[in-house]
Amino acid sequence: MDKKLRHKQMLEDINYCNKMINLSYCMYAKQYWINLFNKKMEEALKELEAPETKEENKEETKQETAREPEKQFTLEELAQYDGSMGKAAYIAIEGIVYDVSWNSCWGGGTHFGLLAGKELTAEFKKGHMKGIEVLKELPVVGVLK
Amino acid sequence: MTIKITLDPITRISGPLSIEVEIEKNKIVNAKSSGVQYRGFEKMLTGRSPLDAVYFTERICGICSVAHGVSASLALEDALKVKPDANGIKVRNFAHAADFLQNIIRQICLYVFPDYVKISALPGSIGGDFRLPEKYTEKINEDYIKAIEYSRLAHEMVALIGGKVPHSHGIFVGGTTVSLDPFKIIRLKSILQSINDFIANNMVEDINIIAEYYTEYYKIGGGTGNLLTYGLFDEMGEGELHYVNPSVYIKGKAYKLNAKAITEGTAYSWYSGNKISRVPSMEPTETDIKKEGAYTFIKAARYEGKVMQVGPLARMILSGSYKNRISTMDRLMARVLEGKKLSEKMLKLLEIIEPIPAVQERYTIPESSVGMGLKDSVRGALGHWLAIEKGVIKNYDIVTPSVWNLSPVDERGQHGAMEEALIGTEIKDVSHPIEIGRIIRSFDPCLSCATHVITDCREPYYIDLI
Amino acid sequence: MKIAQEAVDRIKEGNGNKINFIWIEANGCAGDIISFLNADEPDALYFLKEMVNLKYSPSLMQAEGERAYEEFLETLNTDFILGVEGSLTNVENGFYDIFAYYKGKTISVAEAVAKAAEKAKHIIAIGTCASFAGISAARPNPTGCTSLSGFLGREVINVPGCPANPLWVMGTVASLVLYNKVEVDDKGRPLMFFKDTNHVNCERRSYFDNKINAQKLGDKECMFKLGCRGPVTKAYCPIGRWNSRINWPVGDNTPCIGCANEYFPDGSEPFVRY
Repeated sequence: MDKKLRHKQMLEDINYCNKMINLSYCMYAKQYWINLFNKKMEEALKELEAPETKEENKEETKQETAREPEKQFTLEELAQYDGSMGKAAYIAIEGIVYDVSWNSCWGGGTHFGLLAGKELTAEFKKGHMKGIEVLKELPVVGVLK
Repeated sequence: MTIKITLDPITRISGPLSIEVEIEKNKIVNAKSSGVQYRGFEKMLTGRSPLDAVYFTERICGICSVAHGVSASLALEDALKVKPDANGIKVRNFAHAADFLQNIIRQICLYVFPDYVKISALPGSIGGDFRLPEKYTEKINEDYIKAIEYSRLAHEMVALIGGKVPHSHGIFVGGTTVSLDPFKIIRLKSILQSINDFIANNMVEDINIIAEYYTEYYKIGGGTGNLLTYGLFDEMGEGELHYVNPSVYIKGKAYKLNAKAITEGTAYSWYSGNKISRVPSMEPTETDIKKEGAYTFIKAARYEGKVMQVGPLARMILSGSYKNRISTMDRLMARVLEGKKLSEKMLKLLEIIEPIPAVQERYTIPESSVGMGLKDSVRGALGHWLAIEKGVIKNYDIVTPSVWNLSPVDERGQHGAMEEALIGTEIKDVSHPIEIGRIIRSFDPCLSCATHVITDCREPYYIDLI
Repeated sequence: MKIAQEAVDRIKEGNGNKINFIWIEANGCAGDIISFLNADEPDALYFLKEMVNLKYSPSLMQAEGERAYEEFLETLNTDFILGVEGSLTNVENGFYDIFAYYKGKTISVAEAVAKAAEKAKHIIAIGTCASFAGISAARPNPTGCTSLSGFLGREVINVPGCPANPLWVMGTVASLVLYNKVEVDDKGRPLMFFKDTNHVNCERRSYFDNKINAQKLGDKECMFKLGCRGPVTKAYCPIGRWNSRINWPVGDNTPCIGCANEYFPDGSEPFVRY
């Protein structure tokens, strides 16, 4: 992808995130878009500061774009990612699916007796009454259908 | 005139025990053994992942955690239909026996010696009846000090296999988890040889010295002559590694063990209900600390309704390694001699253990299953019974050796082994009844084990003992 | 251990008076005293001879019955460090854990601990049961067990671990004997031993960092996918290890189960998951 096109895409992504922040009512979804917005801004700033190099000819690094269709999970599909037998460990909170495979608190895909591969909104709210700060660091892999 | 004496705390045992005796004309006419601690492990285990039972039940007891790990592993192997490889069994048995040695050294040298000799390494004294001449007092004091090191070394052997101890990780379903190699083997061998030396030379000599000066203890504190063992090193073939098969000794005859004949009663224990239940039963029950007549958290374990005695003496007699004589001093002597016997068997076992990595699998938990793990620990017969339903633990029953030995009187009026041992004993000085503590410690009580349990009188599930 | 050796030298050259030590076993498995007897360099004998006067310990002391309780009471009128292992249960007047029977009265462990805590110069909660309630309080907590600090309503030094590693206990006592204090973190744990998680210094980090996972116990790779709680457990295990520093759970090819954690065992469940 050449530089001009890439910058256009970045700007579009940032604007889209901004729009979604304003459209989101659920605080979890809002936080998701805020995080993504911040990430996109960081990348854009880095891009602007980077010197002219032969970067464009290098292999494209895979970038998460907001315009790519989000992977949608049914509960059955989510259940596949329960962290057992070496599989990835995903959990869903308020409709957003997070990857906890390598999160310190989720050794073995389990956390305080809970198993991954499930919708855990109620348990999360009970156990993390202080709020959603902890979710900030979790990679997002999609949304629940 | 009846004098009532309550001894609490009984020090130099594992856990809190209270003893109440009634004395008439300097003779004990009644004894009540009270386990005065309770935690409720069976209630805690319900609903948990079955594989967690190993590490969880280890924490019932700090001094014999390995025994619980072994019994839990056996129960799980039964329920999960897992057959450990031959080397895994050998290594696990070795670690188990190493923990026996730790127990024996600490129990005899740190717990029992101060009853007969004033120990200068610690403040205070039991006082009263010290009979040993100066040179033997010195010798036993020296061995007390050495015992601190040798018992630690025994645990180092367990840790080489189990990762850490108390509460090892390496004892598990399928055998052990350790990757053995020639270097680990030689470390085990070098430690074992030094411990074997200490037991065979120092400890045997010491216990014989004490027996020489306290001969009347061969006549007191016997308790029932009915003996029981779940076996130890019984799966090691019939050669020189074999020790004792699961068996009982009742009224002069030895029989193969029938696990279905085991019952537990709560007539005089602080649990609601008054019936006898087969072991295992279905559900934990509630405590009832206001129950009329009850005086302990320990239940009354019986075999075919009979009182049984368990421990090193039972094993040594049932294996034909010790004459059939039951008393305080016989129990102490048998414990030391068993230590010597086990350490010799361990040396032989080490020669045939292969220095290879452990064989482990990704074990599948069935939807429902039952399992039983019976094996003697150092204090005697230890049984774990487990029922799995919907993939989690539905019920977990544990009967520890101290439930046999330290049991209260049952609904038929039969006293447990230790109470019976105390009854009839002559107390020379009622103001300082030193005989009581000496008899008690010869049983090597473990209260954290004995007092965790609760079972109920519901329809039991049966497991065939093959 | 250097700090303990310094403590010893100081005692020898100083007034030579060792402080008294009361070791109470509350509602637990009595594993911490057994673990402590496994201490090495310095060992338990060194502790007894050179560091403190062990005036009360149900597992080791020579006196029994009323005389033992009297020795406990006598020590309360002196300078002493109080160490408590096991959880505290005070329901039904502490009936589920009895300390002594003295002159016609039953004394619960809760009562004895409260009495001793009033007068102690320093208080150490030894093991996870005393520090954080531990397995004695595992769901559903049948005897209403709490931590030592929870029971006393005040801060104490917490040396968790199931059992407490003898190095950690020895080092803590040495710090008190030598400097009259020990630096602790926000949960009262000595910073000497509870600064980093087990994950930080784990010898299998290169496996973790490259996502090379053990499939089952007994494997040599990273145990994280089998349920290892190393990343959330502050302790000293990969460095000081266990039993004369020879081994530790991960080194034995099993996951860490976070036995020194505030929420052990319920927060570590399940311990093993394939």
